[in-house]
Order: sequence, then structure tokens, then C-alpha cells
Amino acid sequence: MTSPWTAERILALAPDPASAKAGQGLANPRKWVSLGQSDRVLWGECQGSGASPYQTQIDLSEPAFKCSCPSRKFPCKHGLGLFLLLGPSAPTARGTPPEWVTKWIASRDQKQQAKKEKAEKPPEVADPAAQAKRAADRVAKVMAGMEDLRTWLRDLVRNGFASVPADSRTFEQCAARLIDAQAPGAARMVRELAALRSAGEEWPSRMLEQAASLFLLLEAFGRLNDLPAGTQADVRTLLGLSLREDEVLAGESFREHWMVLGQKIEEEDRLRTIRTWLLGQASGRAALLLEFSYTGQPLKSTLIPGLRFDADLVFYPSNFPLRALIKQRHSGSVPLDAGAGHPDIDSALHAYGTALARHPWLERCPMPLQQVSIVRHHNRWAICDNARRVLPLSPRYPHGWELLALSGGAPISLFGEFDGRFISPFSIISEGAFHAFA
Amino acid sequence: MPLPEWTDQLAASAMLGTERAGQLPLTDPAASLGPIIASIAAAPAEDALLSAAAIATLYTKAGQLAPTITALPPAAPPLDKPPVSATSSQHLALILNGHYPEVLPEYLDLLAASGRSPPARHLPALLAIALQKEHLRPRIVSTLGSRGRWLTAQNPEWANLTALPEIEHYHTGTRSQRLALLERLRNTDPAQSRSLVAATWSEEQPEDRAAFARTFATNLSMEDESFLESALDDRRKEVRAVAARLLAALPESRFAGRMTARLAPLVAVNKLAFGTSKISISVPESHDPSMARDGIDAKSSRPPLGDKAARLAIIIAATPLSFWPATLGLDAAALLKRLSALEWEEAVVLGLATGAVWQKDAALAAAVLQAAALELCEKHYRLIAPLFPELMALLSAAQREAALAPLLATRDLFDGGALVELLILAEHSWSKSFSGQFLPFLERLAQPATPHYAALQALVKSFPFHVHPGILPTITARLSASEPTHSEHLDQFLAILHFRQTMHKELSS
Repeated sequence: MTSPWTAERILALAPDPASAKAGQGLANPRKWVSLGQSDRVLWGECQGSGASPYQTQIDLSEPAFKCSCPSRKFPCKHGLGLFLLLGPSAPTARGTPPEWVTKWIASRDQKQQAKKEKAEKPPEVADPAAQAKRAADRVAKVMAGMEDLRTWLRDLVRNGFASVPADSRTFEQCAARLIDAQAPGAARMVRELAALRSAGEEWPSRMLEQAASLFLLLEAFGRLNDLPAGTQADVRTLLGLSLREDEVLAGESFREHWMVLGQKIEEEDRLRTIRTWLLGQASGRAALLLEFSYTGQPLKSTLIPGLRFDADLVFYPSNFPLRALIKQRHSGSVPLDAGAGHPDIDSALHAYGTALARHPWLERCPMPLQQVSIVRHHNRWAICDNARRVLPLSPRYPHGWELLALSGGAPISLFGEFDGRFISPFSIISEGAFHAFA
Repeated sequence: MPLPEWTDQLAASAMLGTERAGQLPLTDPAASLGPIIASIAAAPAEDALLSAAAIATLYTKAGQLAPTITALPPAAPPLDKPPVSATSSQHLALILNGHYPEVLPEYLDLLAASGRSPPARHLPALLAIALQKEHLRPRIVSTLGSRGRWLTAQNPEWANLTALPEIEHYHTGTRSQRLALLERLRNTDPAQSRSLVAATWSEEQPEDRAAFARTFATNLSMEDESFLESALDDRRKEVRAVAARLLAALPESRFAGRMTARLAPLVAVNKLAFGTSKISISVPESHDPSMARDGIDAKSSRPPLGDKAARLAIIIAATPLSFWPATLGLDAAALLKRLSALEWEEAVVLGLATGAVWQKDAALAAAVLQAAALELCEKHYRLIAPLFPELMALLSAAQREAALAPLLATRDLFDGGALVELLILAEHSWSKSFSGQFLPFLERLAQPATPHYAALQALVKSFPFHVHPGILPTITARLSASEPTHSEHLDQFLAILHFRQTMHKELSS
């Protein structure tokens, strides 16, 4: 088995370009006093400016880094250098782990166990009465904000979109009001509405679509208690009233062999969001993992597209659950071996319709497909199934030619996000080989 | 009413605003939405419009059917060559992503030799480079394999890359298409290329005439002589200069005869006592229109040479090199070693160096480069340094290494920097033995306390791409024994070499 860790993937873990460069400089055996590796851990001693060398170690099961250097960056350049040096080659045992390595691994296993035990206990509430009051206050704030939003939305429709200049401040003012009302999710939807004002020729109908979706949310919020529990959770999430991780982890878990089929890093206002799509190998169930970090902070995510792992996932409550958290891993990662998905575009669209019926605000629906080809149709990219049905790729999708080159026009397995109009592929399996597109 | 029309009407109402839009289009477009539309009809107009839009949107999205196309385009034929390994594909990704762009030509050469297909994923990036970079185009096109050739046919922009230029292009094509055609014909059928050029010569723009004349350098022969001789009468000086330079490479040409006749009276050997002799070379005192026609200008264009010295240099460059043994009993390379005895030594050095380039004489080119590093004074060195790239280009890999190896062994050369410059220009992949000879030089380079800027730059920008990667273990062992001064540069050097080593290993297994 070859290592899943290529230089490119290792460098993606660097917290900033300077660390990436310094790490590459340290990927040089001359810099290391000692080096060793086992199936699970890489270690080495790097001669720095201090008297004794820094002790650097990497637990490959996640991977996790530890280094005795004083750097506040994570992973530090020593960790990256060691990983670049030993990571990309096939894992072979070399040397016996010294005590400082075995100790660290043991303490990591202990912590893992403690975390698992904690997760199995119900979350403790410090002061139930105070917490209930805080929650009630927040709901009151959100309700007031929603009433303002309803008034604003009605004004918008009564006066007509044509009366709103392209550079209008009204959207931003409304969004700011919703932030004050502690409904950041609704604020985001209003900002998207503003962006649609300059969405080309179709902007009036696109804006109406989005306004209608907001209105639907208002209506749902207005009779929240009459809705199914899952939809109630969806409405709360859309408004921005999200659950804490420990509250989610207390829910029921779902064990599967999860295939990592896509990953995208989005950056906005110095906030990085990593969206990682998983697909259960046996159940065909999709799961979305979200991770947030500020620019300059390292990513903690170590999920690599093309790998598969056995784990318990807990889904956020929803009428169409997608977002999830990893509760516990039962195995390291191995390369995935087969694709999975709908046999044709008809059944994929049918599944999309069903999803929309359960979650009418669903913006990006996971869509795994098998036996589709990449085609150029009217000078645009599309996928085509054996029944010659076509589904267009997003006009902004940048990897059309790469998909065509990889597939050679032959049927492939594909995983993408479908937004109701276009599909954006995240990965394909062609001739048995997995390829991810970020 | 069809659903899309209903959606459009709702959008039109929203544009105008419910205040002015009048009656809302709240009819059932699908025969199944009746009850739900009825349920919103009584709501205030704004709410009714937004609800209707929500219904229309969700109904459209959830119920959509994909359109069909009539036929799938044919898929690619099976791969004619096995693809490279995943690791090798990763190497190419690093090269294409700007980590080691300098290594691309070497990667392509190794790929061609390996008999494998380039990684399909990177074909679009390679084809984009082939479009932009002419010098890499043939290398890329020749490694494409069946998948790559299939892919070029899918994109009109790429299709031209693999299509051979046709004869019609000479009459209808753009300038670069016409040049590509002439280049191709010079390789396969020089006579046809010459007659194409001759047929339209008088109607061409001066820049095109110069460019077309330059193509004659490929497979140049005496059959081209009369055409080039007539080009010496061209109105444009640039065209005359191209013709003169090409004719200088034809020792039997009328042009070469005239040059020999001009040089002969300027060279004399005076016998001295004890069997020695003194060579004297003088400058042409006068200038006439026939000299101007042959590209010998009245005024010097090469300061610090004066007018007469510049004329001498051109006459020497254009006179067949066989002149020297016939007249002096020693060849041009030997003459280089006796410069100090000459009066117009700068003109002679420049003339001989230029002559090596024009007449494509590898032996003389090697001698000039060696002399530049070993013997020439600063002034002479500066004069001919601009010719180094062309001189080096005349030498094969083996000739380069044979010329440079003795220089590497000469310890006190280093401060001159000439050797560094020559090693930078020796851009071929160095043999293992030459790389071994380079090692002591590398060690000296890393040591001095006062850094030699150009050498340190070359250490990271040039040498690591030329040195044979098989020598990496030896280098690492020797360098780790000492604590070099410029370890940062050395580390970068080693990192690149390490990358190339794994790249070689991956593509040769």
C-alpha cells in the first residue's frame, strides 16, 4: 500500500506559506540527528538553534503533531519537515520508538478513551433555570427580528424589485438588524438576496426565488410548534440558532464505513470553512462535516478525499440530516476501493426531489452518480448517463477539461453537489482510480 | 399556463411591485397545485406573491427532468501506453503548480524515454503550456499518447497543436503558421521551401523577409547560395545581415571567396631567426560599397572596437576557418593562444569567436570558451561574453563536458566567475562522471566566507537542474562531513536534486 500522504497534502496542513517553505527546508535528512518510523508514528530529533535537539513526532492515525520547539505555529516547521521527509513513502518500520514517543502515544490513547467516556455521559447543565432563561431571551429577540424581516420583505415586494437600486443599502441594513436579533443565518440569506441583484439577466426571478425561500422560513417560524421535530430543528439552524457540539454528540450515533468523497475550503472575511462530504459505503447515506478556522490558523481536519474509515457519526437533528460530527473512529484510513451512487440521472433527480420535500431550503444537495460520462454539450460541460439524459455542470466549474481528460469520454463514478440547476463535481472514480477536485 | 410562463409572470409582478402589478396570476399551472394555490389566494397580495413563488420554485426544482441528447460523442481509444505511476503524476503536479517549473523539460524527456503516457489529469495543463511556449511544444506533443491526441481533437484551440502545417498555409496563413511550414519543409524538402520563399520574396514585408531568410539555417547548402547572394542586394539592412551570416557558413560561396580575398593581404608571416616566425595582422584601411553589400559596415557597431578594427572582426568571422592553417600553418584555436603577440588582438578575438558561431565550428567554439575561462584578459572576456550562449549551443553534451572538465580541475579559477557562467550555460543533463568532477568545485563554492553572489544564485537556480541526480548520496555524505558556510543555498540545492532523483527513479522503473 502506498502512503496517502503526498507532499501536496502535507503542505496543505501548513498554517501559512512561511511554515510550508520552512518545512520543505527541513525535509532534508541532514537536518535530523535521528529519524524513525513505525506503522503508527513518525519521530525525529531536529537540531535547532538550542543546545538539545527538538523532539518531533507525528501520530499517523489522525494525524496529530507534537514538537518540543517553542513555536506557536501548528503544525510547526519541524512537524511539517518530518512529515514531508518520511510521510510520502510507504510505511516501513525503522528504529525502535524511544521513550518520549511511546509515552506520548500512550497518553493520547488515554485521552481518547476519556473523551469517549465523556461523550457517552449526558451533558451536564450547570444551572438549568439560568440556561432556560437565556434561551427564552434569545427566542424573544429572534422573534422580534423576524417580525422586522417580515415587514421589510413585504415592503420589498409591494414596492417592486425595480424600485431597489443595484447599490442599495437596504439589504445590508436589514442583515445588520438580523445580526442584532441574533439570527445570523437569516442575515446571511438576506445578504445573498443582495448579491442576486447583480446576478445577470435572470436576476428578478432568482431574487424572487430567494425572497420566497426567506418568506417560507418566516412562515415556518411563525408556526414552529406545529411542525415535525426535524423541520423545527432545520428552521432553528437556518436562523442561526445552532446546537453546541456536545448537545449534538449526545444524540444517536450511526456506525458506517465512511468514504471521503469531497472537500472544499471556502474563505470569507478571514473565516475558513472546510466542507467535507462523506458517503456511507453500505447505507449510501451522505454526511457533511463542517470545520471552521480563522485564516492563519492551521486546519485541524485530517480527512483526505479518497480514503475510507470506520467511525460513529452523529447527525445534527434535521428533517433531512446531512451535517454530522465524528463521535468516534474505529479504524485508521484506508484508500477507498469503489464508487457508489445513483445508477442514472433520473433516480438522482428523484432523490433530490424527495430531499427537497423534506428540507425545502436545501441549497446544496449531495449527488453521487455512477455510470455517467463527461460531455461538452452546446459548448458547456454536462454529465450524461446511459439513457443520454444530461445534467449541466456549473458554468463556473473550472475542471471540465480535467474531467474529460481523465474519463476519456467513458462512464465514471462521480460525486458532486447539486444546487437545483447545476452539479459541481467534487471527485470522480475513473478506471478504478480516485481523483478529487478542490 | 405552462409552469415556466407562470414563474415569469410571478417575477414580472415582483419587479413592478404588488402595489402596481394589479391582479396576481394565481391560477393553477399544473392541475395539481389547485388546492395549495387556493389556500394562499386570500392572503395579502405580498404574502400571496411570495407564497406562490415558493410553490413555483419548489415544484419546478423537485419535479425537474433532465433533457436528453441524441448521441454521445465517441469515447477515447484505449491507452496506447501504460500511464505513469501515481507518484510520478504527483511529481508533474508539483512541477506544474510552480514548485519546480524548471524541471518540466527534463520530466518530458524522461516521460518520452519511459514509453508511458502522461497522467491524464494533467493533459489540459500540458496542452495549455504547449500553446504558450513554443520551445516546449514539440516535446509535449510527442509525449501526448492516444488519450492526449484524442483530447486535442475535442478542443478547437488544441487541435492545431497536432496538425501539421500545410502548403496552403504559406499563402493564406498567419506569419507564425508560414514560418512553422517553412521550418518543417527545411527539414524535409529544403528545395521546396526555397522556391516557396523565392516566389513571393519581392512582395513580402522586410520583417518577414528577414524571418524567412533565417529559416535557411536548417539544412543550409550550396543550393541556397545564389538565392542568398541575391538577398545581399536587399533594401533592408537586417535582411542583408541575415544573408551574410548564412553565406559565411558556406566556404565555397562567392561571398566566402570575397572575404578570403579581403583578409589575405592583411595577414603576413615574417620568418625570424632560429626557425621562429612572427604573425602580423593589420586592419583594412579603406571602405567601399562592395564591403557594405557584404555586411561590413563603415562605422563600428561594436564599441570599444574602432571602425577599422570592427571591419577586421567581420572579415575574420566571415572568412572560412580553413584560411588559417593554409596561410599560417596553425589553426584558429592555436591562433587564440598567440593573441598577445598581435597588434589588433581584440578584433581577432571577436572575429574568431563570431566565426565559430557563424561557421558552426564546434572545435573552435570549445577552444574559445576554454580560453575565456583560462587565458583571456578581462577586456577580451567582456567582448566575447555575449557570444557564450551561441558558442555553448554548438557543442554536444560530450563536447561541453570535455571542454569544461579541465576547467573544473583548475583550482584558482574560481574568482573569475567565468566558469560559473559557462556551467550555467551548459544546460544539458550532466553525466554522472562530469557531475562527480563538479563536486570539489561545489564544495569550494560552499566554503568561502565572502559569498560569490552569481555562484550562490547558480547553486539554487541552475546547477541543481543539471547535476546528475545519481550523485546525491555522494554529495550528501561529503557535505555532512563539513559544516558549509552557505548551508541555506546548499539545502535548497539538495532539495531540488532530491526531487529530481525521485522523479528519475519513478520514471525509469
